Amino acid sequence: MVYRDGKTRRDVLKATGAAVATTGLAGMASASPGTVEVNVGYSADSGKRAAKAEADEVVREFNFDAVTIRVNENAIEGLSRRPDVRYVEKNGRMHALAQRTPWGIDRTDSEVAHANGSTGAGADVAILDTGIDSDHPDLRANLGSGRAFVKARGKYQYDWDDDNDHGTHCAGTAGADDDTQGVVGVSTEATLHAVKVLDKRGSGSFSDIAAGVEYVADRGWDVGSMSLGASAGSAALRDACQYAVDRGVLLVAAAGNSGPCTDCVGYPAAYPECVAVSSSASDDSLSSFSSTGPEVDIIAPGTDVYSTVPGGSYATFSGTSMATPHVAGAAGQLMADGYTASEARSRLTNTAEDLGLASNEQGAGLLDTAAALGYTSTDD
Amino acid sequence: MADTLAATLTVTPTEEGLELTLTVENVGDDAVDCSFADGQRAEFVAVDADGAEAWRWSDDRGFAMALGNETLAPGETVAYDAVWASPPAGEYEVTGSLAATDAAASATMTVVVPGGR
Repeated sequence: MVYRDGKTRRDVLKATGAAVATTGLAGMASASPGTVEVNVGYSADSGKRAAKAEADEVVREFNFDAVTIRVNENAIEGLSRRPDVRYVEKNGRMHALAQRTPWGIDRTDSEVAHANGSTGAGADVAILDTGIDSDHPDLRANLGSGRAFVKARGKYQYDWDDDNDHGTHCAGTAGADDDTQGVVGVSTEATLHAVKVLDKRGSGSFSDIAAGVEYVADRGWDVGSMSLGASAGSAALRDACQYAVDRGVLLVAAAGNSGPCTDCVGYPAAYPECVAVSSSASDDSLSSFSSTGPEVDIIAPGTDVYSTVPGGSYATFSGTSMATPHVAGAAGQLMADGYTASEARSRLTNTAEDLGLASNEQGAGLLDTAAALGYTSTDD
Repeated sequence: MADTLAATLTVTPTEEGLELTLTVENVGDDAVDCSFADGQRAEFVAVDADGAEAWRWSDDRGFAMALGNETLAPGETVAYDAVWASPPAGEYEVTGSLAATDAAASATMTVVVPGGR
């Protein structure tokens, strides 16, 4: 995995993936976001000094001209371009190498939509969250633009880079690309825009969140995915949601993690402008943490969801946050097909699969991406 | 489990208002696992001299809706920050507390916000 000689990292990773595909998952990072372990070979001491200067930690200094360092992945490209650096290679222990289909993609028949040629290409899906890793191999091809209403803290290439993990995870569920590695999203070619409204800890002021929603509307994007919430609302955020819906944006929001509870859907999900998403587990039960209430529109997979995290890695998270981007990805698929936001919203709920849960738990039922797009499927 | 967590609260006046920092330390001999229902890791509340709640940090914030977990090794500390912008003059009891579902730690201090800011 050497980032030189005009080869992109993606090419190299793909090649590696093919070579070891039979071993499947090679192991996951215990990753701190954005930090990777690399071997740096140098041809002059100045190269060694440059590598050590970039390092968060020097792991090993070899007797030959190389060092192993832990470094922010955004520093890799610069290092590898130096004439006094012979190579920068990733220590091969933190990547999932064969593409996996996460259970939620399968359960929502999103892979059936893919098989029928639906990719979401042309749709603009904004992830209002902690940012998106600007260089994740499973997301890079689909990344659009970024905007930070709260800036990433630390050494990042962009102020909208993900200094948490959460936004990158949600982005992967909505729209990781369909290639030979990592995961695949509900949409596979929709453009994902990072709108960073949550900080490193995963919280953000309602003013910043409202500004993010307004921004999505002003950019004319199709879908705003909000894997965020609070038990009390905000008049400014409500105004922003109305503003966005008036401009044709489909807003999707997490019902909340206050469960088990009844009539406890958080905000902005509880606003009628938003599609409120509760969370299911792989056995089709309601996730124990999921908030419920009459505002729930639809349920989607949210327990133990495997997706992208910064540093080229993958991790399993749970929450109504994870359910939300499933619906946002499907909304992107529909709007790529020409449906308006309100038409797409109706299709999502009209074609949802009844899980037999109470309506305040499942809303219209489980997201069925294939059915929403008009594909018949006997698959579950 | 909660006994092994010690919390301290510091309040620093800034141009914006008051910067609050809750520092939680594991003073025990075993690691402590803290679970969170969402992206809220801490809460900060100010109560005025009449006992009425004057400010709550989470009131104007939204949080990532993923379950979370943080493990504090023995001796390890973690700090959470909040800003109380433009607090009205007065005397307050300010409390910072960990928002974990299975561990507790909180600290309170009296804060006087001078008038005529």
